[in-house]
Amino acid sequence: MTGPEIPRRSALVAAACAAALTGLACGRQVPAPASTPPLTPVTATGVMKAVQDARGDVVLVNVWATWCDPCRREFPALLAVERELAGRRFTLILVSADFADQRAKVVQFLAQQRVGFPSYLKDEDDMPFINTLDPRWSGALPATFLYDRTGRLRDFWEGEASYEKLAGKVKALLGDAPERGVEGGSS
Amino acid sequence: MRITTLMLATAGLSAVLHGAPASGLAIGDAIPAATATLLNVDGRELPLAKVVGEKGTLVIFSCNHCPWVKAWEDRMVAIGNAYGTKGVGVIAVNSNDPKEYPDDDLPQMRERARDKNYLFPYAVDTTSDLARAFGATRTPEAFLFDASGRLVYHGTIDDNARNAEKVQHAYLRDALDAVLAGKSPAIQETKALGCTIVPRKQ
Repeated sequence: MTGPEIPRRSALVAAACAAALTGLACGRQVPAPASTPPLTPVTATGVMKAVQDARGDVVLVNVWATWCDPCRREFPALLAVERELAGRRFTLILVSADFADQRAKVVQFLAQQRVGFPSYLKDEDDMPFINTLDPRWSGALPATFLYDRTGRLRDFWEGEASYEKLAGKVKALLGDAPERGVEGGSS
Repeated sequence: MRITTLMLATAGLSAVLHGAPASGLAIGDAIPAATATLLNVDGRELPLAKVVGEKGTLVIFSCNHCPWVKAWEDRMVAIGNAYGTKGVGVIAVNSNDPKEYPDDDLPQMRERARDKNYLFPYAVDTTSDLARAFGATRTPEAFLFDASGRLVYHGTIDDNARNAEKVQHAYLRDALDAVLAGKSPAIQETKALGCTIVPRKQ
Protein backbone atom coordinates (compact mmCIF):
# COMPACT_ATOMS: atom_id res chain seq x y z
CA MET A 1 0.00 0.00 0.00
CA THR A 2 1.21 3.45 -0.79
CA GLY A 3 1.46 5.92 2.04
CA PRO A 4 -0.35 9.18 1.92
CA GLU A 5 1.28 12.01 0.08
CA ILE A 6 -0.39 15.26 0.86
CA PRO A 7 1.72 18.16 -0.29
CA ARG A 8 0.35 21.61 0.37
CA ARG A 9 0.06 24.08 -2.45
CA SER A 10 2.38 27.01 -2.10
CA ALA A 11 0.82 30.25 -0.96
CA LEU A 12 1.92 31.94 -4.17
CA VAL A 13 0.23 29.48 -6.46
CA ALA A 14 -2.74 29.30 -4.15
CA ALA A 15 -3.23 33.01 -4.55
CA ALA A 16 -2.66 32.90 -8.28
CA CYS A 17 -4.93 29.96 -8.90
CA ALA A 18 -7.63 30.61 -6.33
CA ALA A 19 -9.24 32.91 -8.83
CA ALA A 20 -9.90 29.87 -11.01
CA LEU A 21 -12.82 29.16 -8.75
CA THR A 22 -14.53 32.15 -10.29
CA GLY A 23 -13.43 31.60 -13.85
CA LEU A 24 -9.95 33.05 -13.66
CA ALA A 25 -7.24 30.44 -14.11
CA CYS A 26 -4.06 31.70 -12.50
CA GLY A 27 -4.85 35.26 -13.49
CA ARG A 28 -6.19 34.46 -16.96
CA GLN A 29 -9.86 34.84 -17.78
CA VAL A 30 -11.29 31.54 -18.92
CA PRO A 31 -14.51 31.74 -20.89
CA ALA A 32 -17.35 29.41 -20.03
CA PRO A 33 -17.70 26.62 -22.59
CA ALA A 34 -20.37 27.25 -25.21
CA SER A 35 -22.14 24.04 -24.27
CA THR A 36 -21.91 21.55 -21.44
CA PRO A 37 -19.24 18.98 -22.33
CA PRO A 38 -20.22 15.31 -22.05
CA LEU A 39 -19.91 13.51 -18.74
CA THR A 40 -19.69 9.85 -19.65
CA PRO A 41 -20.06 6.84 -17.32
CA VAL A 42 -16.84 4.84 -17.34
CA THR A 43 -15.19 1.74 -15.95
CA ALA A 44 -11.47 1.49 -15.29
CA THR A 45 -11.14 -0.43 -18.55
CA GLY A 46 -12.80 2.52 -20.27
CA VAL A 47 -10.32 4.89 -18.66
CA MET A 48 -7.45 2.72 -19.88
CA LYS A 49 -8.94 2.78 -23.39
CA ALA A 50 -9.14 6.58 -23.26
CA VAL A 51 -5.48 6.65 -22.28
CA GLN A 52 -4.55 4.39 -25.17
CA ASP A 53 -6.69 6.42 -27.56
CA ALA A 54 -4.65 9.46 -26.58
CA ARG A 55 -1.38 7.66 -27.31
CA GLY A 56 1.12 10.16 -28.65
CA ASP A 57 0.16 12.55 -25.85
CA VAL A 58 1.36 12.68 -22.31
CA VAL A 59 -1.79 11.81 -20.35
CA LEU A 60 -2.72 12.75 -16.81
CA VAL A 61 -5.68 10.89 -15.29
CA ASN A 62 -7.11 12.49 -12.17
CA VAL A 63 -9.78 10.73 -10.10
CA TRP A 64 -11.67 13.21 -7.94
CA ALA A 65 -15.03 13.77 -6.29
CA THR A 66 -17.17 16.78 -5.41
CA TRP A 67 -17.22 15.71 -1.74
CA CYS A 68 -13.43 15.50 -1.60
CA ASP A 69 -12.01 18.78 -0.35
CA PRO A 70 -8.40 18.11 -1.43
CA CYS A 71 -9.73 17.24 -4.89
CA ARG A 72 -11.61 20.50 -5.12
CA ARG A 73 -8.58 22.44 -3.96
CA GLU A 74 -6.39 20.72 -6.53
CA PHE A 75 -8.74 21.33 -9.45
CA PRO A 76 -7.57 24.84 -10.39
CA ALA A 77 -3.97 23.66 -10.58
CA LEU A 78 -4.93 20.75 -12.84
CA LEU A 79 -6.84 23.06 -15.14
CA ALA A 80 -4.04 25.62 -15.10
CA VAL A 81 -1.65 22.95 -16.38
CA GLU A 82 -4.16 21.84 -19.01
CA ARG A 83 -4.65 25.42 -20.23
CA GLU A 84 -0.96 26.22 -20.14
CA LEU A 85 -0.20 23.20 -22.29
CA ALA A 86 -3.12 23.65 -24.70
CA GLY A 87 -1.85 22.86 -28.17
CA ARG A 88 0.93 20.68 -26.84
CA ARG A 89 0.73 16.88 -26.85
CA PHE A 90 -0.97 16.71 -23.47
CA THR A 91 -4.34 15.28 -22.45
CA LEU A 92 -6.04 15.67 -19.10
CA ILE A 93 -8.62 13.01 -18.27
CA LEU A 94 -10.89 13.84 -15.34
CA VAL A 95 -12.82 11.00 -13.71
CA SER A 96 -15.36 11.85 -11.04
CA ALA A 97 -15.82 9.17 -8.40
CA ASP A 98 -19.08 10.66 -7.22
CA PHE A 99 -22.07 8.41 -6.88
CA ALA A 100 -24.31 8.29 -9.94
CA ASP A 101 -27.08 10.16 -8.15
CA GLN A 102 -24.69 13.07 -7.64
CA ARG A 103 -24.33 13.62 -11.38
CA ALA A 104 -25.98 17.06 -11.31
CA LYS A 105 -23.54 18.20 -8.65
CA VAL A 106 -20.62 17.00 -10.76
CA VAL A 107 -21.90 18.84 -13.82
CA GLN A 108 -22.36 21.98 -11.77
CA PHE A 109 -18.83 21.83 -10.37
CA LEU A 110 -17.30 21.21 -13.81
CA ALA A 111 -19.23 24.18 -15.16
CA GLN A 112 -18.05 26.38 -12.29
CA GLN A 113 -14.50 25.35 -13.12
CA ARG A 114 -15.04 26.17 -16.83
CA VAL A 115 -14.08 22.66 -17.88
CA GLY A 116 -14.50 22.74 -21.64
CA PHE A 117 -13.68 19.16 -22.57
CA PRO A 118 -15.39 15.78 -22.04
CA SER A 119 -14.89 14.01 -18.77
CA TYR A 120 -16.04 10.88 -17.00
CA LEU A 121 -18.10 9.59 -14.11
CA LYS A 122 -17.04 6.33 -12.46
CA ASP A 123 -19.53 3.55 -13.11
CA GLU A 124 -18.04 0.45 -11.52
CA ASP A 125 -17.59 -1.12 -8.10
CA ASP A 126 -14.71 0.36 -6.16
CA MET A 127 -12.36 -2.59 -5.89
CA PRO A 128 -12.09 -3.54 -9.58
CA PHE A 129 -11.95 0.15 -10.49
CA ILE A 130 -9.09 0.78 -8.08
CA ASN A 131 -7.09 -2.33 -8.85
CA THR A 132 -7.43 -2.04 -12.60
CA LEU A 133 -6.09 1.50 -12.62
CA ASP A 134 -3.23 0.58 -10.28
CA PRO A 135 -3.01 -2.05 -7.53
CA ARG A 136 -0.86 0.37 -5.54
CA TRP A 137 -3.80 2.74 -5.20
CA SER A 138 -5.31 2.46 -1.71
CA GLY A 139 -8.56 4.13 -2.70
CA ALA A 140 -7.72 7.55 -1.27
CA LEU A 141 -8.70 10.59 -3.33
CA PRO A 142 -7.56 12.42 -5.27
CA ALA A 143 -5.53 9.87 -7.18
CA THR A 144 -3.44 10.84 -10.17
CA PHE A 145 -1.89 8.67 -12.85
CA LEU A 146 0.66 9.96 -15.37
CA TYR A 147 1.23 8.17 -18.67
CA ASP A 148 3.93 8.86 -21.23
CA ARG A 149 3.40 9.21 -24.97
CA THR A 150 3.46 5.44 -25.44
CA GLY A 151 0.62 4.95 -22.98
CA ARG A 152 2.86 3.53 -20.27
CA LEU A 153 2.10 4.42 -16.66
CA ARG A 154 5.07 6.44 -15.46
CA ASP A 155 3.91 7.88 -12.17
CA PHE A 156 1.14 7.61 -9.62
CA TRP A 157 0.34 9.39 -6.41
CA GLU A 158 -2.44 9.88 -3.91
CA GLY A 159 -3.45 13.18 -2.37
CA GLU A 160 -3.47 16.78 -3.47
CA ALA A 161 -0.61 17.95 -5.67
CA SER A 162 0.64 21.46 -6.24
CA TYR A 163 0.69 23.23 -9.58
CA GLU A 164 4.49 23.00 -9.49
CA LYS A 165 4.42 19.25 -9.04
CA LEU A 166 1.80 18.67 -11.71
CA ALA A 167 3.40 20.96 -14.27
CA GLY A 168 6.88 19.70 -13.49
CA LYS A 169 6.01 16.06 -13.96
CA VAL A 170 4.04 16.63 -17.14
CA LYS A 171 6.65 18.90 -18.68
CA ALA A 172 9.39 16.43 -17.85
CA LEU A 173 7.58 13.78 -19.88
CA LEU A 174 6.95 16.28 -22.66
CA GLY A 175 10.70 16.73 -22.78
CA ASP A 176 10.73 20.33 -21.67
CA ALA A 177 13.09 20.05 -18.77
CA PRO A 178 14.38 17.63 -16.20
CA GLU A 179 12.15 17.18 -13.20
CA ARG A 180 14.49 18.83 -10.72
CA GLY A 181 13.13 20.37 -7.58
CA VAL A 182 9.71 18.82 -8.00
CA GLU A 183 8.23 16.72 -5.25
CA GLY A 184 8.41 13.09 -6.21
CA GLY A 185 5.58 10.67 -6.67
CA SER A 186 5.36 7.19 -5.29
CA SER A 187 6.86 5.41 -8.23
CA MET B 1 -5.20 -5.75 27.99
CA ARG B 2 -2.76 -8.18 26.39
CA ILE B 3 0.66 -7.23 27.62
CA THR B 4 2.27 -10.17 25.86
CA THR B 5 0.90 -9.03 22.53
CA LEU B 6 2.35 -5.61 22.96
CA MET B 7 5.69 -6.99 24.05
CA LEU B 8 5.76 -9.06 20.90
CA ALA B 9 4.94 -5.99 18.93
CA THR B 10 7.82 -3.96 20.26
CA ALA B 11 9.93 -5.33 17.43
CA GLY B 12 7.97 -2.91 15.28
CA LEU B 13 8.63 0.01 17.59
CA SER B 14 11.63 1.33 15.70
CA ALA B 15 9.52 1.47 12.58
CA VAL B 16 6.97 3.50 14.47
CA LEU B 17 9.53 5.82 15.93
CA HIS B 18 11.22 6.37 12.61
CA GLY B 19 8.07 6.62 10.55
CA ALA B 20 5.98 3.82 9.11
CA PRO B 21 7.19 2.10 6.00
CA ALA B 22 5.70 3.65 2.89
CA SER B 23 3.80 0.49 2.16
CA GLY B 24 2.00 0.49 5.52
CA LEU B 25 1.04 -2.62 7.43
CA ALA B 26 0.82 -5.93 5.61
CA ILE B 27 -1.23 -8.98 6.50
CA GLY B 28 0.65 -10.84 9.23
CA ASP B 29 2.31 -7.74 10.64
CA ALA B 30 2.14 -7.13 14.38
CA ILE B 31 -0.04 -4.38 15.74
CA PRO B 32 2.25 -1.36 15.95
CA ALA B 33 3.41 -0.55 19.44
CA ALA B 34 2.37 2.96 18.67
CA THR B 35 3.44 5.78 20.91
CA ALA B 36 0.81 8.07 19.46
CA THR B 37 -1.32 9.89 21.99
CA LEU B 38 -4.99 9.16 21.54
CA LEU B 39 -7.55 11.37 23.20
CA ASN B 40 -10.94 9.75 23.56
CA VAL B 41 -14.15 11.73 23.29
CA ASP B 42 -14.62 11.21 27.03
CA GLY B 43 -11.62 13.52 27.50
CA ARG B 44 -9.21 10.82 28.65
CA GLU B 45 -5.96 9.79 27.05
CA LEU B 46 -6.18 6.27 25.73
CA PRO B 47 -3.03 4.39 24.74
CA LEU B 48 -3.64 1.86 21.99
CA ALA B 49 -2.36 -0.79 24.40
CA LYS B 50 -5.50 -0.34 26.47
CA VAL B 51 -7.71 -1.10 23.49
CA VAL B 52 -6.19 -4.47 22.65
CA GLY B 53 -8.78 -7.20 23.16
CA GLU B 54 -8.42 -10.74 24.37
CA LYS B 55 -9.79 -12.20 21.14
CA GLY B 56 -8.75 -9.54 18.68
CA THR B 57 -8.43 -5.82 18.05
CA LEU B 58 -10.24 -3.66 15.53
CA VAL B 59 -8.86 -0.23 14.67
CA ILE B 60 -10.93 1.83 12.26
CA PHE B 61 -9.57 5.09 10.91
CA SER B 62 -12.62 7.27 10.68
CA CYS B 63 -13.71 10.87 10.93
CA ASN B 64 -16.76 13.09 11.04
CA HIS B 65 -16.73 14.92 7.73
CA CYS B 66 -16.30 12.16 5.14
CA PRO B 67 -19.36 11.17 3.10
CA TRP B 68 -18.06 7.62 2.88
CA VAL B 69 -17.85 7.38 6.64
CA LYS B 70 -21.37 8.75 6.89
CA ALA B 71 -22.57 6.18 4.37
CA TRP B 72 -21.06 3.32 6.36
CA GLU B 73 -21.33 4.75 9.84
CA ASP B 74 -24.44 2.95 11.07
CA ARG B 75 -22.96 -0.39 10.01
CA MET B 76 -19.57 0.52 11.44
CA VAL B 77 -21.09 1.42 14.80
CA ALA B 78 -23.25 -1.71 14.83
CA ILE B 79 -20.17 -3.85 14.21
CA GLY B 80 -18.10 -2.05 16.84
CA ASN B 81 -20.84 -2.24 19.44
CA ALA B 82 -21.55 -5.91 18.77
CA TYR B 83 -18.02 -7.28 18.62
CA GLY B 84 -16.83 -5.08 21.46
CA THR B 85 -18.91 -7.26 23.74
CA LYS B 86 -17.33 -10.44 22.37
CA GLY B 87 -13.78 -9.90 23.46
CA VAL B 88 -12.64 -7.78 20.54
CA GLY B 89 -11.06 -4.46 21.43
CA VAL B 90 -12.56 -1.77 19.21
CA ILE B 91 -11.58 1.81 18.56
CA ALA B 92 -12.37 4.41 15.92
CA VAL B 93 -9.55 6.89 15.41
CA ASN B 94 -9.68 10.28 13.76
CA SER B 95 -6.25 11.28 12.42
CA ASN B 96 -7.35 14.28 10.37
CA ASP B 97 -6.02 17.73 11.10
CA PRO B 98 -9.03 19.68 12.37
CA LYS B 99 -7.52 22.81 10.84
CA GLU B 100 -8.31 21.22 7.50
CA TYR B 101 -11.65 19.79 8.59
CA PRO B 102 -13.27 21.70 11.47
CA ASP B 103 -15.95 19.00 11.69
CA ASP B 104 -13.21 16.63 12.80
CA ASP B 105 -12.43 18.48 16.01
CA LEU B 106 -13.01 16.91 19.43
CA PRO B 107 -16.33 18.63 20.31
CA GLN B 108 -17.88 17.56 17.02
CA MET B 109 -16.54 14.04 17.49
CA ARG B 110 -18.01 13.88 20.98
CA GLU B 111 -21.37 14.95 19.59
CA ARG B 112 -21.20 12.35 16.82
CA ALA B 113 -20.28 9.55 19.19
CA ARG B 114 -23.22 10.45 21.38
CA ASP B 115 -25.69 10.84 18.52
CA LYS B 116 -24.68 7.56 16.90
CA ASN B 117 -24.38 5.66 20.18
CA TYR B 118 -20.74 4.64 19.91
CA LEU B 119 -20.17 2.11 22.70
CA PHE B 120 -16.46 1.98 21.88
CA PRO B 121 -13.82 4.71 22.02
CA TYR B 122 -13.74 7.35 19.30
CA ALA B 123 -10.40 9.05 19.72
CA VAL B 124 -8.36 11.90 18.32
CA ASP B 125 -4.96 10.86 16.98
CA THR B 126 -3.44 14.03 18.39
CA THR B 127 -0.26 13.91 16.32
CA SER B 128 -1.63 11.77 13.48
CA ASP B 129 1.23 9.40 14.26
CA LEU B 130 -1.09 6.42 14.59
CA ALA B 131 -2.14 6.84 10.97
CA ARG B 132 1.52 7.05 10.01
CA ALA B 133 2.35 3.95 12.04
CA PHE B 134 -0.41 1.99 10.35
CA GLY B 135 0.09 3.51 6.90
CA ALA B 136 -3.58 4.44 6.91
CA THR B 137 -4.54 6.67 3.99
CA ARG B 138 -8.29 7.06 3.98
CA THR B 139 -11.50 6.94 5.97
CA PRO B 140 -13.05 4.59 6.73
CA GLU B 141 -10.19 2.09 6.76
CA ALA B 142 -10.30 -0.95 9.05
CA PHE B 143 -7.40 -2.94 10.50
CA LEU B 144 -8.30 -6.16 12.31
CA PHE B 145 -5.74 -8.03 14.41
CA ASP B 146 -6.23 -11.53 15.77
CA ALA B 147 -5.72 -12.65 19.35
CA SER B 148 -1.96 -12.85 18.85
CA GLY B 149 -1.88 -9.27 17.57
CA ARG B 150 -1.24 -10.06 13.90
CA LEU B 151 -3.03 -8.21 11.14
CA VAL B 152 -5.55 -10.57 9.55
CA TYR B 153 -7.86 -8.16 7.72
CA HIS B 154 -7.35 -4.74 6.20
CA GLY B 155 -9.80 -2.75 4.17
CA THR B 156 -13.36 -1.70 3.94
CA ILE B 157 -16.55 -2.42 5.89
CA ASP B 158 -18.43 -4.18 3.10
CA ASP B 159 -18.99 -3.95 -0.64
CA ASN B 160 -21.77 -1.39 -0.77
CA ALA B 161 -21.37 1.95 0.95
CA ARG B 162 -24.60 3.39 -0.37
CA ASN B 163 -27.05 0.62 0.33
CA ALA B 164 -26.82 -1.75 3.29
CA GLU B 165 -29.56 -3.92 1.83
CA LYS B 166 -27.51 -4.63 -1.29
CA VAL B 167 -24.37 -5.74 0.50
CA GLN B 168 -23.15 -9.02 -0.93
CA HIS B 169 -19.90 -9.31 0.99
CA ALA B 170 -19.80 -8.19 4.61
CA TYR B 171 -16.02 -8.28 4.64
CA LEU B 172 -15.37 -6.90 8.09
CA ARG B 173 -18.09 -8.91 9.86
CA ASP B 174 -16.90 -12.07 8.12
CA ALA B 175 -13.34 -11.36 9.19
CA LEU B 176 -14.41 -10.72 12.78
CA ASP B 177 -16.38 -13.96 12.86
CA ALA B 178 -13.34 -15.80 11.57
CA VAL B 179 -11.14 -14.26 14.25
CA LEU B 180 -13.60 -15.24 16.97
CA ALA B 181 -13.58 -18.77 15.56
CA GLY B 182 -9.79 -18.84 15.64
CA LYS B 183 -9.56 -18.94 11.85
CA SER B 184 -8.00 -16.75 9.19
CA PRO B 185 -10.51 -14.63 7.29
CA ALA B 186 -11.18 -15.93 3.79
CA ILE B 187 -10.72 -12.41 2.40
CA GLN B 188 -7.95 -10.43 4.05
CA GLU B 189 -7.49 -7.35 1.85
CA THR B 190 -10.22 -5.20 0.33
CA LYS B 191 -10.36 -1.69 -1.04
CA ALA B 192 -12.89 1.06 -1.43
CA LEU B 193 -12.71 4.71 -2.24
CA GLY B 194 -12.54 6.93 0.76
CA CYS B 195 -11.58 10.35 2.00
CA THR B 196 -7.86 10.97 2.15
CA ILE B 197 -6.57 11.35 5.69
CA VAL B 198 -5.03 14.79 6.03
CA PRO B 199 -2.61 14.42 8.94
CA ARG B 200 -1.24 17.08 11.18
CA LYS B 201 2.14 18.34 10.07
CA GLN B 202 5.10 16.66 11.75
